[in-house]
Amino acid sequence: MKPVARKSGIFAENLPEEVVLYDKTHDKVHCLNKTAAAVWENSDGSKTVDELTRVVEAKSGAPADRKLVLQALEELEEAGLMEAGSVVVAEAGLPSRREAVGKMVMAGSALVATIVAAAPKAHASQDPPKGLDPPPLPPHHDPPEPLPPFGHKPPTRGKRKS
Amino acid sequence: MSDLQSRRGDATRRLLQLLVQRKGGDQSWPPAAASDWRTFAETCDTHQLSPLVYCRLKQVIAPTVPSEVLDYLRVRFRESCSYNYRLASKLVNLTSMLESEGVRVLNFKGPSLAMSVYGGLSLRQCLDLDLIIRTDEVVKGAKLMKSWGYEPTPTPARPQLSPYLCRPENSRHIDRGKEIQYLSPDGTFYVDLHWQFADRFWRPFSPDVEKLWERAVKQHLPQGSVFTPCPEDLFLALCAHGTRHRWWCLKWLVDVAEILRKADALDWSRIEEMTKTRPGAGAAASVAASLAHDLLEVPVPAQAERILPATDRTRALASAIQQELLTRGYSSGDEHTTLLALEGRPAARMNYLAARVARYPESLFRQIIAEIGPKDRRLIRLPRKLEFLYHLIRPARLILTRSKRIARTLWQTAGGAKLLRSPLREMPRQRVSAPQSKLDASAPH
Repeated sequence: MKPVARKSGIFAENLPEEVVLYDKTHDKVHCLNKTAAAVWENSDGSKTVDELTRVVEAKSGAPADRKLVLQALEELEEAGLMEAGSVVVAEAGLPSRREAVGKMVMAGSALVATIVAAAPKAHASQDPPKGLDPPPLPPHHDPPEPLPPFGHKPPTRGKRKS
Repeated sequence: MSDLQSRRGDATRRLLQLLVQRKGGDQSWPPAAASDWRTFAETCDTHQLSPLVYCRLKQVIAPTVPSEVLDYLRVRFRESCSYNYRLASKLVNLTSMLESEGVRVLNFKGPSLAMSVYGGLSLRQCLDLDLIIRTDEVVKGAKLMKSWGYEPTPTPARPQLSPYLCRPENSRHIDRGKEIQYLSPDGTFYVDLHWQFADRFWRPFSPDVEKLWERAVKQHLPQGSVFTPCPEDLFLALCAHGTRHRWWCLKWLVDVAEILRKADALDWSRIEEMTKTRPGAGAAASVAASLAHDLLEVPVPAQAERILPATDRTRALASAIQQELLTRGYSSGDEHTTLLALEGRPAARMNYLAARVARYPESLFRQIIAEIGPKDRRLIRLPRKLEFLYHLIRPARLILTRSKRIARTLWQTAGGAKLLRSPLREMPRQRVSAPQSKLDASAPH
């Protein structure tokens, strides 16, 4: 298998430790961690999974094994970031997808996170922080929005309620 | 100062340190207690800097950051990231729709600013779309927006402007105001349709909107292209916007700092030309440059210092804002105080104060009678039962103080005029030079 990443219609933004991909065709945003980003960038149809594993290891500086690369390929494929049919994952010994993704999401380190835009909570761009020491004169300000508790993780896949 | 304010001030200082640090290595940086981390995360939210802070934390000192804080910031980063891309799509669509109807549009702030300053849409938290159209096309633009399902909404800060005053047919609002805010048909984002950068009293501090159009430039976004003000207009407009809001949100200052870091890309001769016709815009930019230098350690180029010279007013304002940010964690955002601090022309000040009283009569009552301050209490100590008398003491004290100030100003003006006519007008100079001669005399030979 020599996987091919879909590069057409994709806008990539390289950030430290993360790559953000915007899929113009489907109007979706994907956040890739270092491993997934290295797999996506190097899947040019000329490398096998073993070769990809070596490249990923060299590029990310972290130990990568074949299973991790296969996992990344599967997630990239599911996110629509690989050319159709270029990834066929049917290897024995690979952890089930649900099991692997579950572990990674719990650890906050999903390889590929597809995010859907949430509706704005309030139009607060011009309102200073409120509630502590309000300015003595108008305009009046609303009380501050309570923050969600730490550890609060909205779903990263599927549509959010607006 | 309350404990919360002090903790917020501390968190803001840490936030600024993090933004200044280009590379890691400062061991004293991480907050010690879990509650400090929480305040730090809240401060990032308040200043709309969570995406930038998340990336900086991961880059610099990720192992020392509690995982729940990093998770929290990651959620904020991803929310903001996806929202920005969505906004950019809407921006390109809406712009092309307006342009196809013959309404020329510029985009100010929002996704186009993120793209031009940060090179992508992920690092800057955008909340809405700001479109600028020509004043004579406001009625047409507003009708089109309405026909596409965009609903005019009052801004939360000024609910009293709703609903009549915000109508585009209201020529008074067009003359004096600056924008109409719309909520999108699906209720997921807001669009501010501007025809000016600021309300009438703040206009002298912003670039001239009429001249934006000939200098507009194209900005490429992943979804298409839009027109934006040229970098020089954008720089002055951002400085004016931040100064007007007293830089309560550090995101605005980080934008200006990023532009100043690439100061070579700006045509300073053009900025000089603009600030000659609008000195107020230069004053606002001077405040911004001063804050960016002091808080974010941005080197201000020599030509910027020459073109945007600091005056007593700009220095005092920048210092007051800095003090507020570093001690309480946020500035008051009070436009009123800021304008009075920056506006030096007596006629403009009087005009502004009169308009303010007419618009907010209750503010005059609050300021003169209702709100008892520490100065009133220091003047005379009253028992609790007689505290109501402060409401009589305060107006009397204010009248006395203001009368004294006016009398002093008049006396100084008259005295200055006399001195000018006097043959002994060299006297003040001699007084100034006296201490120096004393120093010279005391110096060892």
